[in-house]
Order: sequence, then C-alpha cells, then structure tokens
Amino acid sequence: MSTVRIKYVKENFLKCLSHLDIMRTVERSVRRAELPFVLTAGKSPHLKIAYGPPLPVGFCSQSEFLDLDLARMVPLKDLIKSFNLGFPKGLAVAEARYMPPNPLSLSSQTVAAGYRLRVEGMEDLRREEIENELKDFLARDKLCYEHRGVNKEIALQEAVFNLALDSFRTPEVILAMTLSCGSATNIRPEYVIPALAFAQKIKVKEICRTGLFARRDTKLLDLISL
Amino acid sequence: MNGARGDFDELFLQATKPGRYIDREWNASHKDFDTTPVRAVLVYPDSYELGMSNLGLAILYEIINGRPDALAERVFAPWIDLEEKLREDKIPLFSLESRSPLVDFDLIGFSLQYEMTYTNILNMLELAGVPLYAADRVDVFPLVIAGGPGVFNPEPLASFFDCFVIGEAEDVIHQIIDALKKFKKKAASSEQPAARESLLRELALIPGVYVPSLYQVEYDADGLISRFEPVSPDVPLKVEKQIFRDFSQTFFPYHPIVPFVEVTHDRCSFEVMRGCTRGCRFCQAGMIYRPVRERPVELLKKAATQVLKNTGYEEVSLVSLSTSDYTGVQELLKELVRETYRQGISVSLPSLRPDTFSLALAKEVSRVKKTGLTFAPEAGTQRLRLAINKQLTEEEFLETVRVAFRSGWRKLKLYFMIGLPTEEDEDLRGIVELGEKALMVAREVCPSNERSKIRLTLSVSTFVPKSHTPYQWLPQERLEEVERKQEFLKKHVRGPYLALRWHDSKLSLLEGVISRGDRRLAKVIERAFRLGCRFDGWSEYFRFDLWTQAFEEYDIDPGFYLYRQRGKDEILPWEKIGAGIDSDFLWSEYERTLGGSVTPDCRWNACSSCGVCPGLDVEPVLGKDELGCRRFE
Repeated sequence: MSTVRIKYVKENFLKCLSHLDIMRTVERSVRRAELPFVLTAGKSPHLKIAYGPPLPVGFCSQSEFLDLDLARMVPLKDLIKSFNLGFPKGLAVAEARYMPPNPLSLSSQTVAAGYRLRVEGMEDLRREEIENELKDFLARDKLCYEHRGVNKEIALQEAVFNLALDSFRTPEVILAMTLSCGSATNIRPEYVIPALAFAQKIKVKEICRTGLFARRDTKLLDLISL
Repeated sequence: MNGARGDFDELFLQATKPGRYIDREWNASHKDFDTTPVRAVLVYPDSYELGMSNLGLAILYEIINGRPDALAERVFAPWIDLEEKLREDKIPLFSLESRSPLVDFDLIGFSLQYEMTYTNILNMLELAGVPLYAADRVDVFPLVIAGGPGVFNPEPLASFFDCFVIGEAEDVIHQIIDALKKFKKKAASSEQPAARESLLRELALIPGVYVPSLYQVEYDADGLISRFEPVSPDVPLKVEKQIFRDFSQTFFPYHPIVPFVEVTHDRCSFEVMRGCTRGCRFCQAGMIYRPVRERPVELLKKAATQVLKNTGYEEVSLVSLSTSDYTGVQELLKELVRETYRQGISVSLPSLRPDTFSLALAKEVSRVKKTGLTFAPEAGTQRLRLAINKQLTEEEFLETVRVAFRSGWRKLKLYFMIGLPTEEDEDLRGIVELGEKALMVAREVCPSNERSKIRLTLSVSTFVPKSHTPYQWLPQERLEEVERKQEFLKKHVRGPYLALRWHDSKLSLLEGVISRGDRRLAKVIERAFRLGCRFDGWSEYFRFDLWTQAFEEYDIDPGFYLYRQRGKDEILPWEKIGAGIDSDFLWSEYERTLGGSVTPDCRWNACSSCGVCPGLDVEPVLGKDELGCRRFE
C-alpha cells in the first residue's frame, strides 16, 4: 500500500464550492479515474483519503493537498493523467509525489498558508505608502481580530509570517501574505485586512491560496517537498 | 443580461449554499446556445437539492441533449435570499449552464411533482419576465409547458401553461421539438408574423399534448362543471397519456449529472421497471403508470457498469414503484452486489414490500452498508388494509420485523395514512397496536445489550384523494377530524423506542384542494403567490393564513373541492385527461372498498379489466422468473 500526495488547484469559477463539496467530488473523481484506491474498514466504507486544511467558500487555490492511499503504486505520469481525466473542469493535479509513511496527518503537518489577495479601492494611495503601512504592521506586537463574534488576540509573529505588496497596478493591487494555518491556530486573510490602516477603503475582489507549508527547522517548506 | 460569469459568482456568494447555483457539474452539457435550433430549459420548481434528485429531469436532459438540433439546460427555484438579490438588482432568472435568461429559450418545461410547488412556478415565471397567464403572452417563444404526475389534473394551472405533456415524455418530447423546429424555420422564411395560436394548434395534434386554451369550461348554478368542450372540431376530445414504447429495450440516463453539493438522493438512481398493478386503491401512481414494464436483467447489468463508470457514484439505488416485484430482482442484485461490493459501492432498495422475500433482498444489499428499513403498511387493521386493497397480513408483517431485527437492523420506519375511506377509530388504535406489536417482536429477538438502539418510527400522513383513482369522487377528511385523529395518535404512541411523525394537516388540506381543483383556482394560486407564498412545502415558509386570505378574497370555498362527495356522472376537472383507465373500473373499485373485497394483481392473476391494455394498445412487459416462466398470462 502506498500514499501519494497530490497538490491540486481549484479554479476561481469553482469558488462557490465548500470543502465538503470538494471532498465529495474528489472521491468520485478517484472512482472515475479508476485508480486502485483503498477502502476504509467498518460499516460505511469510503476511500482512504486525508485532506489538508479546508479551503473556505469563496476562495480559489493554486495549492491544495490530499493524501490518497493506493493499493499499489501507479507511475506518477499515468496517475496524474488519470486523475485529471476524472476531475471535473476547475480541479486539476499540479504535482504528485509518493510519500514515506508519516505518523502525522497531512493537516497536522501544516503550519502555514500563503494567500494572494486582489484588492481594489486603493487608487489614491502611493506605492510607498502601502509598503510602509505593511512594514509597520509587521512590526506590531499583536494582531487583534474577531472570530465568530468573539474578540481574539495573538502575538503577531505567531500569526503573520509575511505580508507584502505583490503587484501595484492601480486600480488593482495584489497583496501577498503567509499566515499561520494549522490545527492549533488558523489565521484567515479576513482577520488581517481589518487591522491595516487603510482597511476602510479596501474591497477584496479575490482571494487565492498560493501555498501550504510545513515547518522544517526554521524554514517553511512546501508540503509537496516533504 | 448575460454578464460575465464572475459577476454571478459574487451574487451567489452572498446567498446560502452558493454551490447549488453554479454549473459545470460532471456530465453537465454545454452546447452552443446561439447555433442550436431548439433550446429548452428544464425547470424543477423547488430547490436544487430536490430537483437534482428527480429522475424525470435527468432522463429528459439526456434525451434532448442527445439530439444535435436541440439543447436542454436547467434551472431550479432560487432560495429566498437569492431571490431577494435577483429582484433588487433586477436580474432576470437565468439557466444554470449558460446563464441565459429564461426568456431567451424556445421552451420552458416545468416538472409538476407536488401541488405545493405551484406558487414557486408563478414566482419563477415572474422572475424570468414571462407573463404569468398564457393568454397574455404575445411572443410565440418561449413556450411554457409542463409534465410530470401533476398533469393528471392540470386544471388549476391551466391558465398559466401553453400546454401539458400527459404521461411519459420520452417519445413526445421529440415530436414537440420537431414541431418547434419546423415552425421556427417556416416563420423565419415567411413574411407574415408567426402566430402563437397556430403553433399551439399544431402541438394539440400531437398525441399526449393537452393545450388548455383550446378547451372551454362552463359551470352551472351549483358550481359544477356543466360543459367542458374543445373550441373546434380539430382539437381532440380527450388527451390520452403517452407511454414510452421502448422502455424495456432502452436505458436512460447513461450520463446523469453528478452534483457538487449534497442533494436529497445523492446517488445513482436506476429505474428497473415502470408501473405497478398491485392496485392499492388510494395510489395514483399505480393507476397512471400502468401497465407494468420491466427492463431485462442483462440490459440493467450492462447499464449499471457503464453508469457507475460514467459517474463515480458510491451508491446505486434500484428504483421503481415496488422493486420487490421486479422479476429479475434477485439475479440483478446478486450480480450488482458482486461487482460493487469490492468497490465499496452500496446498493439501496427503496420501496420494498414488508415480506420476508424483500427482507432477503435487503440483507443482500446490506453487506456494504446497513441503513434503516422502511415499509408501508398504510393502515392499522386488516379490515382497512383489505378495503384499500393493500394485501398485507399482520402475521406476514410481524414475521418480517422479526427477521429484520434478528438480522441486525435496529431502525424501522413505518408509513401509515389517516383519513382513508371507511376508517373508524378502531383503525387508529390499530396503527398504535401494530407499532407496539412490532416493537415487542423487535425486542424479543434483539440481544439485550442492543435493545436500547431500537427505533421504530410511525410516519402518519393524511390521505388526499387523487384524480384517476377509485377515490377521486370521495370527500377528504375534514381538518378538525384530521387534527382529532392526530391528537389521538400523539397521546397513545409512547416513546422512547416508538416515535410518531405526522404531516401538517393544513398543508394536506391545500394539497387536497389543488389536486382535485379546477380552473377557478388560478386566481387563488396567483393571489397566494402575490401575498408572498413561496416554498409552501417547506414548514418554515408555509403560510396557511395567506392562502386562506386568497380563498376569501375570491370568495371560493375550499370545501367545495375537498369535502363534497362528487356524483358518479359528474364532469370532473380532469375529464379531458385520460390515464387509460375505465371510469367504471374505478367506480367498481370504490364500491369494492365499501364491500371489503380485494382485487388481485393482474400480473399473477386474471385481468381486472382496468382498461389500460386495450385502451392504449399496450401490454405488460414482464421478465421470466427463475423457472423460466413468464409470469403474465
């Protein structure tokens, strides 16, 4: 039995789908792809698949993960081809790799997520203004945010690993950020935006998850590279 | 407005469960809207979750899209929150696949499954920008048509639809599309403007198509129908239901759409046969889908393999009105389970009869997944069961329960009805007693450490007499009586292992009025809709007070439709619709209820002369059983 780690993309036009919808779709895609899947034991057998942290409704992604157990190894090229044939339009395998056994689940291995936000409303700001604000933000002690009506506080360094201006082509601005994402803490991009000085002006048009990472020593490592 | 796809996604994200409004599901069809000659949109006037569980829609979708000269897309009732946004932003209702406004289609086809979706129908027409009343439609297209079991009394909706398709649509839809194609071509090359009336008259000539505007209804001083006639001699006197003649040799759909979101029946539905001649007297489906036609086991085996490959579903359901009666059920199941078991695909069998044979089948499928069992005794006493022609003995039933619980089942749901003809309080007590006896039997055979898991649910609905059944002339149980009976049951059915479920009595009242109503109800339905009624079948939105107001404003007494015993020779509103059943047969079945005599199933006994076979020039199509005998003679 082997485990193959799949990095897949979720295109923008599927952003209305929830994580549960994606899970349901993945199972059926694996069946359609006729991959040698493994079933769980017990009363209600289903495919043995482990998923990465859920992607919220409204987000698209270049980097989602699942670990699929297979009864036997399939050459990666064939596997990717079959999987992509079984996937509906809007989902596609970006990379695949056989993984050694790991006591930690995919979710437990994850510590951070990268996001790209396409925002509007900052036409009258200058590039330096934005970059300075982001620098100031990163120098703060804490991040205060609201989650389900409850006010929370977290040390900024534990929440936001990176925040930068990715592209500045008014009226569109792209912010890139790497946030804590794991079983312990999950900082959503929507927690960071209100904390910025120009929060009132910002209108978020699109959020795309760009990466999911584990920690190796002091660095963040793409989950596919583990 | 045919805006960029992105605009709509933002709109959907503001509503609950946005995933049900996007398309691109696996097997969804995208044909070129601008170059395809005939464009149809199939409408299920309820939520996506319910609509995508409807097999009829899936069948027609595949048939229409299978034609190079036609396309079919879908639309479902937008939920209340999305509807608000559509109205606010003045966005006309659009199809799922191409996001085309409904008015751009040639054909808008509604599925009539349930009376309490009718306000949704009007709402969707209004959201689409289509005039509600057929008489107000100026442009030839779109044509607004309907099909489904509701057409067996289409009269309350007659003013809103251009035509109805009576019976099975698999053949008729081709004739309709051919007629539309021809008409469009002629209109394009002609100098005279195309006339709606002439298209409707052409459609009226297609067998199975009922064009209500070509019939006139008159009423007498007592409110009864005095005349119901076609407006001219070329219009058929009566429209007989159509039957899909190749049902047993073909299979649809091979590529059903696989939804992204969770739907009510989240599985592959496999129609093994159509029709049922058990002859339960309350059952409209048993009357309108005659005769019984089975599909051969070989065809189904091949189809199953293909469909599972085409979809990736993890559950397949063998669907029919009474699957235990399907001749090849054992053989089919054995094959299916053998193939699907290894893949973790479960097979489910809804509509099982409560006998030990069915239980053996249920055991076979439960190897993969054991779900609850559901049976429908319908009545609590032997006497009443025989009167409604439900031939099930208490001994047989209890034996089935015994075997079920011994085999490991712990949950059982039992369907009953109250308000059946000749019902007495003794029959109500019978429901309670049957439930208690079943519970006792279950406890007897269940190991003591499992007994706490036993759950028996008595689900009691209110009998609503339907058209084309032996009870079509009968009054429905009065509201106060229904509530009294429900109170009785609530008092006597005691938990925690025995639970009672019942239907909203006021909802059943409205179902009854509409299901046997006439054209005069159109204004009431419209008024209820304008007062705000939507999703009436959903308890959180049902507004009986608004319906009552609508009836009062038009001075129509619902009791006229509900509580009146109709005369044997009275002209009934569904007079022009033929199900192939002789009226005399229905009347005699009604009389046999009063006498308590049983009418056996014609599959295994003598023909009961219901009239369908000679009347529609058909025959039952039955498979061979294990002994190689055709069970029909």
